[in-house]
Amino acid sequence: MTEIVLIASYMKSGNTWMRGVVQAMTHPGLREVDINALDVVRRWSSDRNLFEHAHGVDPDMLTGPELMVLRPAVFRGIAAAANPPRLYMKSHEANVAVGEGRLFPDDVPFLTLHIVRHPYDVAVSLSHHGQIDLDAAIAFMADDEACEGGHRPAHVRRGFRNHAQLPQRMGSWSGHALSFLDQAPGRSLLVRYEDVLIDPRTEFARVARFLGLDAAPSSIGRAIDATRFDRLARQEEAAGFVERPDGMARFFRAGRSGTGARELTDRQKRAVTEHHENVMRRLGYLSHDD
Amino acid sequence: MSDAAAARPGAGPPRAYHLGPMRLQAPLPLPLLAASAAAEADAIVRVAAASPIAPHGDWVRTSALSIEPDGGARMDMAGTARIEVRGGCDITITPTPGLTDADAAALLMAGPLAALCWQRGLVPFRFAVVAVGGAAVVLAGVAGVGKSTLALALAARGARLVSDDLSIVSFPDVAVGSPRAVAWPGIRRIAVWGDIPAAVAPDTVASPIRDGISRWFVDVAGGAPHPLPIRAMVLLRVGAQGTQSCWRMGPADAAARLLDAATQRAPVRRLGGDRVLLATVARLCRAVPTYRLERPAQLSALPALADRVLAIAGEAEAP
Repeated sequence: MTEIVLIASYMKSGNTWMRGVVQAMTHPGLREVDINALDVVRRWSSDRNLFEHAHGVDPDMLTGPELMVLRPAVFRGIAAAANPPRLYMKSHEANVAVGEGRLFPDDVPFLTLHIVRHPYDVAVSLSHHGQIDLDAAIAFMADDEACEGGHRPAHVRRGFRNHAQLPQRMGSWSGHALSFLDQAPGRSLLVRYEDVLIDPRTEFARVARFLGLDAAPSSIGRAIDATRFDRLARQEEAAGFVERPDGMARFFRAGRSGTGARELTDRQKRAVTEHHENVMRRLGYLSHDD
Repeated sequence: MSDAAAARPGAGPPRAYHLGPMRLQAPLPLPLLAASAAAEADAIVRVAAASPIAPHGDWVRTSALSIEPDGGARMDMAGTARIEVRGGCDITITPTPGLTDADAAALLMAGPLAALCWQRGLVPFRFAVVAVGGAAVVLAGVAGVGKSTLALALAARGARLVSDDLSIVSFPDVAVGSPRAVAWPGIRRIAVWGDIPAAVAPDTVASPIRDGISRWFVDVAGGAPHPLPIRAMVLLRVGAQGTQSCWRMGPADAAARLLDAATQRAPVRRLGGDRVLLATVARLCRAVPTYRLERPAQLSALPALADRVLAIAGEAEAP
C-alpha cells in the first residue's frame, strides 16, 4: 500500500516551512529550496483533483456534508493504488469525524507530522494572511465550524476561496490540535514551531528519523541551511510566492515566535487563553506568557 | 424530488431537451438544457422510487463510481442519490426522500451526464463556450481557473452562451467551405460562485444551484440552436507573475495542455473514454488555433481579460 505522510497543522503554524524542510531532506544536494517548487509535498489533502480522480464526480455540485462522506475514500484509494510507495501531503484539515470513522481513516497507512504553534503567534500571522484584524483572527480560531475555501457564503470571498481545494474543515485552533493529539491517523510525531526555532538541529533530526530519512549531522546541517527563513523571504521578494493569497503583502513575513505576546492586548490574550486553555497547557504554551 | 414526484416518482410528464447532438427525455424539469420538440429521445432519464441510503460510512470504499459488468456506470452520490447510466441511453436516479428537482439536476451535472456522453462516444469537455460574431470561442483550463466567470464577463459584453461546463464538439465531414470543428449548444446557464454574478453581470438573473452551496446558475442570452464553427480555443491559466500575457500555441503543445486540463483521466479510463478523448483532443487542436492566456489572480483584471478574448476572436482566421 502507499504510505501517506501527512504534514498536518492549523493554519500559519509552519506547514510551508516544514514542506521546505522535507524537500531539503529528500534532496541532499540542494543548497537552497525553491519556495515555488516544493514538489515533494505538493498535494493538499483537500486537493480537488485527488477527489475527482477517485470518484469521477464534480465536487462543485456537492454540498459540504456530501463531500465529507466521500473524502475518506480518496485516501483509501491512494493507499490501495500502492504506487508510489510513499506520498507526502500537507493539510490544514482537522481529523474530523466522518460517519463512524474519521476524515483520515484508521485503515490507511499514515505517518503524521503534527506541527503546532503558540496561538498568540498564530493569531498575528492569521491576521496578516487573511487581511483581517486581530479580534477577527481570534474569533476565527475559536470557531468550531471554521472552514477555509468553504461553500458557505461567508467563505466565498476574495482571497479565501482556493478553487484547487475542496472546503477544508479546520475547526478551532484547539479542536484541530486535539483531533491529532488524540486521533492521529497512523504513527504521529508532534513538533512545536517554537522548538524548531530554538533548536533546529534536534528538531530536524527528530523529523528525519521519524520519516526514515538521513539524520546524520551533516545532512541536518545542510537541510537547516537550505531552509533558512531569510533565504525563503528573499526568494519571495525576488520572484513572488505562488501560494500567497491575493492581496497579502508577504507570506514569509517574520518567522519568529513571541510576536503575539507583544502584539496582543491583555483582553485579546485572555480571549485566546480562556477558549484554548486545556490544549495550551497540554502543549506547554501557558508558560509562554509568564 | 418535488412533492408531486416524491408521491409518484418518475410519473411526471416527460419533457424533452437537447444536450449537444443528443435528445434527452426526463420526468423532471432541467432548466439547464434547451427544450426539444423532437418526438424521439436518444436517452431517457428515469426516477425510481425514493429509497433511504445510509447517510454515512464505508459503503463507498474507494470510489463513488462503480463500473458494472455490462459497462454501466453507477454513481453513489454520498447518500443523497444513486444514479445509474447504462448503454448510453438510460439514466436512472434513485433518490433519497426529500431530494429536490434542483438537487437532481445538479447531481446529473456532477457526473452522470458526462458518463452518458462517454458511453455514446462523445467527449464531455469541461469548456465554457461563447459565440462571438457567429462563431464559437472555447474557453478551456483546469477546474476553478475562471472559465465560467470569464464567459459571464463576455456575455455582459454581448457574447452569446453556447454551453458552460459540459460542452460537446464534433468534426463535420470535410468539404470545401465547411468548418473543421463545431461546438454544440449544451448547458445554457453559467455556473459561478458567490458574489461573481453581482460583481460581473449585475443585470442578470442568478438562481441558487442547490441549498448549501453558494453557487449560482446565471441566465444569459443563448446562441443559435445549432452547432457553431469554432474560431479559436483559449487555454486559461493563472500566471505566476501577476500580469496578463497571451500567445499562440502549436497543436502538439495545445493538445498536451488541454489533456492535462480537460478532465481526470482515471475515471475517464474507467468509463471507457480514454481513446476517444485522446483522438478528439488531437483533432481539435489541429483544427482550431489555440491561445494560451495567462491571467492575474485579481477579479479586477477580468475586463482586460474579456477584451483579450474578443481580440482573439477577431484575429483568428474565420473557421
